[in-house]
Amino acid sequence: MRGVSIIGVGMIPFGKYPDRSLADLGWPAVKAALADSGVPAKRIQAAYCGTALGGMMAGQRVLGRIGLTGLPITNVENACSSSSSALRQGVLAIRSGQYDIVLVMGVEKLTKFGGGTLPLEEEDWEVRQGLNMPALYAMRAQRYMHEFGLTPRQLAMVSVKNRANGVHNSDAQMRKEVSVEEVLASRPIADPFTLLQCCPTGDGAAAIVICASSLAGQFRADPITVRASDLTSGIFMPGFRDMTTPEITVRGAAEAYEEAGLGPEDVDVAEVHDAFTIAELLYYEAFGFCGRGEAGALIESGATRIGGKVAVNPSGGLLAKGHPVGATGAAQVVEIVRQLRGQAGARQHPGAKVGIAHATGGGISGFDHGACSIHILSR
Amino acid sequence: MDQPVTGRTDPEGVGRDADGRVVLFGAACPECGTRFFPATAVCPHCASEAVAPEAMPRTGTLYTFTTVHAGPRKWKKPMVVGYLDLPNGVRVFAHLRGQVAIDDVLELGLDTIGEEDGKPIVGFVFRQMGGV
Repeated sequence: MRGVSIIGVGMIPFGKYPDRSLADLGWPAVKAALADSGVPAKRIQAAYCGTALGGMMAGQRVLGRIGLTGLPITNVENACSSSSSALRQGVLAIRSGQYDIVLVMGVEKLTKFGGGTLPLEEEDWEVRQGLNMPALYAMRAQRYMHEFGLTPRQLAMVSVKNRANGVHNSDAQMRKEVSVEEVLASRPIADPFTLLQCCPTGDGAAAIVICASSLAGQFRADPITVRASDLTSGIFMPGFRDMTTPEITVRGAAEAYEEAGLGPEDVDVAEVHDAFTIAELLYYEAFGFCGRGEAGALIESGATRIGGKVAVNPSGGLLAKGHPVGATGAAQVVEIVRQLRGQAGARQHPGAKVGIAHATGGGISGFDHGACSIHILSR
Repeated sequence: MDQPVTGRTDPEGVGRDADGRVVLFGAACPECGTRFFPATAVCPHCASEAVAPEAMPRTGTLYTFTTVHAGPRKWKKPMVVGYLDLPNGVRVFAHLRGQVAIDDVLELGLDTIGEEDGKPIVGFVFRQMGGV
């Protein structure tokens, strides 16, 4: 099987751009990734575009702005995993030998909905009964607190850490430090979550240029290797389900580690899907950074800070960087690549060699999550 | 094949049992034994279309819950919702009423859970046993 390398990344700062079209959010990220890669636009052989709510032909709308058309463009919808799923499609296409150089992007404009909780599919039974994403994650948190004695302060520490990381990321939507007290005193959303424990809504775009590893040296001296590219769906369960264990991520992590021939002890940096504070803690356990029930102690120990044992969400994560749903997976990869290249500036995790990007989501009845895509990268 | 689910009235999935009490109608698969709520025309485990409607137990144990303060306007807030584990192995998402805690055994009822286009949305709720 051919190896695949990442040779270019780019993104726009996540934020609120109500006056910019999806197309105009997307193309600057694509140009930035192309410039970063040194690949001339005409050498791109295929493009994969992830968006959850961007509407039809998102990829064509973006690439039409910059004359990058007439090539196969595939649009991918997989909720929060849309652009990480698009990356996997690109990786598979290169591995198969079909293409040598591929563009991947994610783009989303959530300000068009006017704010509030993410609009979900009304065909879904639980959504029709009033379920929304904060409520779903809140119920996971409540059960976890009940079973393992996790405290509200430990939960809040996730926001405090990720907001502190976001201060040093010019692409982050939220760039102000917050204290545990401020997090806990912000307005209630869904108990135990307060506003500052929920990712902000916003717009964004991110792009990645990948190629066959054998060609990477033509473009960059520091290509990043894709060690694992995993995608799975949740297992539908109409009955009882342990909501303190994210089964889809547990399976995905095991698959990704196996593919990479690596384990949790090898990971230096991880961008995990912290849509709400509890999520990051559940993923510590799913990725094996700590044992079951130990996530509260792990955040408190400081081991997941930049400079700790494994820096989790050095970009600020979804909580600070923002979560324009379909752009998130690609943006996580942008951060991991910057960390592995040593380009992360004030938020650089020293000596980062192996990194994980993990995007999961899709709140639908009967599933832990609908989709989960995990990439393991190394320099 | 669209099997009509008997005993099903408005709101969705809610009917009455022989004693006139509110009951949820889910379904059971005669081929693999899977039970589920709400009912669908096909078994989510084995894809059999021989599924039959089945009344769900009227009580359940609260697995988890939350009080929701944000979200679409049509839902009455603060909105308390949770997952009930029924004795037949089915988990149901529901609005809750009154003071509740994880592991409480709650009982099915009906109540107004929201409002749309000026009209109340009546839905099933779970509340403490013996409540009104």
